[in-house]
Amino acid sequence: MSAMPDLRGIEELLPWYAAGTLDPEQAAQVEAALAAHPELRRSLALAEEELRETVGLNEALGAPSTRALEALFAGIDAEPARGAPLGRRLRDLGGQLSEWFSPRTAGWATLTAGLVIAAQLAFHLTPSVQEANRQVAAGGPAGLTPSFSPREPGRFATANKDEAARSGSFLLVAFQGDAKIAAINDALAAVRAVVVDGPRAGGLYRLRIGPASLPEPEIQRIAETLGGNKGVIRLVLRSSE
Amino acid sequence: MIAQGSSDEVLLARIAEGDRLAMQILFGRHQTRVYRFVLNMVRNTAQAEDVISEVFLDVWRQAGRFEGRSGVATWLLSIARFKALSGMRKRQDAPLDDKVAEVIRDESDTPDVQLQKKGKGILLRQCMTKLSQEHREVLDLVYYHERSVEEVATILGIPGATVKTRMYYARQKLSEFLRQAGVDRGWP
Repeated sequence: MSAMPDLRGIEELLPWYAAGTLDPEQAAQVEAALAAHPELRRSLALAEEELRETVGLNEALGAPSTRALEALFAGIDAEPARGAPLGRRLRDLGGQLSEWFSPRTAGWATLTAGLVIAAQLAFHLTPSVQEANRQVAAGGPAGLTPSFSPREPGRFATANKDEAARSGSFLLVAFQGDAKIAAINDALAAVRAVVVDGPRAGGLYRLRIGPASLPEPEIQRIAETLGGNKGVIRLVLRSSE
Repeated sequence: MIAQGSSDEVLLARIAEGDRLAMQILFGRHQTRVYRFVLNMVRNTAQAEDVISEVFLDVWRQAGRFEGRSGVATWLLSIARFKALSGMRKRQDAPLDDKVAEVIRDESDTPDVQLQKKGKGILLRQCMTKLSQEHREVLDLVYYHERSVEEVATILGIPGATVKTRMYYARQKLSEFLRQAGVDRGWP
């Protein structure tokens, strides 16, 4: 324990004691001094009064308008894009996608589903298919060299990344935090949806659900099908882009 | 998934990875206090809002470099102080905001009249606004922002012992102003 401060030293600590921000040792020293020198209580009362009025003075200043937030995000939008590592994005998908990096816990079906999701994300979100393959391979189980091809029928869009993200009909979805990989994959496959972007603010992912010419009733049907799958999908929104 | 209850440090880690939602949560959590700290310095609401946008944009850029030696709130106030001071040097002729001007002491009444009219609490507030920038900011950091001695030292870039004596002299000056206004606190 450090040496007990003199009375001037205690006086200097009273504002912090009044604010409750002294460490336990110093608080104990102040309390001992207050007990031994009751006249210090008058000084403490003044500090408490100053604290009340300082808080009142600051609270009277109000709060910033939304202009500050708008300017902030305008500045962020102007910054170079900063993508999350592939591993982080996969963990964001219900927190279960990281399972496929753990060979002991992932069954083959789960692993396959994870490959599909990872491949969809990687193909559409990473700079190159080769880079996505490298990341997927780095996390895969020993003895397996996972790879995927953008030309594999039935699973991947044959359009290139930018084209898939721009043309077509789209929805925004958020997945349930505990959704399993296989369930996510099944939900997307059932409506022939492909993830083209995400995660965005609010944990939203942009799904391409078909060509731009998809009729409105069909878009609505797909949205209702996805939204009805409460175990997997938390939220479905129309995409204005 | 990021949650509203996540700690500041968790939010910063997510911000470093480009998570805009985490940025929004951190901003919402700290914007008002940082704004008030800056407003007390620059005394102009538009400038204060510009500064806090710059502060949090800096956080967006630097989040990955936060080392955790001080708390996130202390870090934010340090950045805010630096940016406010930089801005003040550039805009020395900026007009005083109405909101801040409201609490500036009215010199026309005698101390007795002021005390009668306004009560001791408001008189105390007015005397606080007469303090120097140096004294006022230490009062705000200790009482309103609830910063420890060490945290104030970090924000102001001075030793802890200097923080304590500066606070002591700020309170002493406050008592002097109150005495001039007719209120003898009997301290120091």
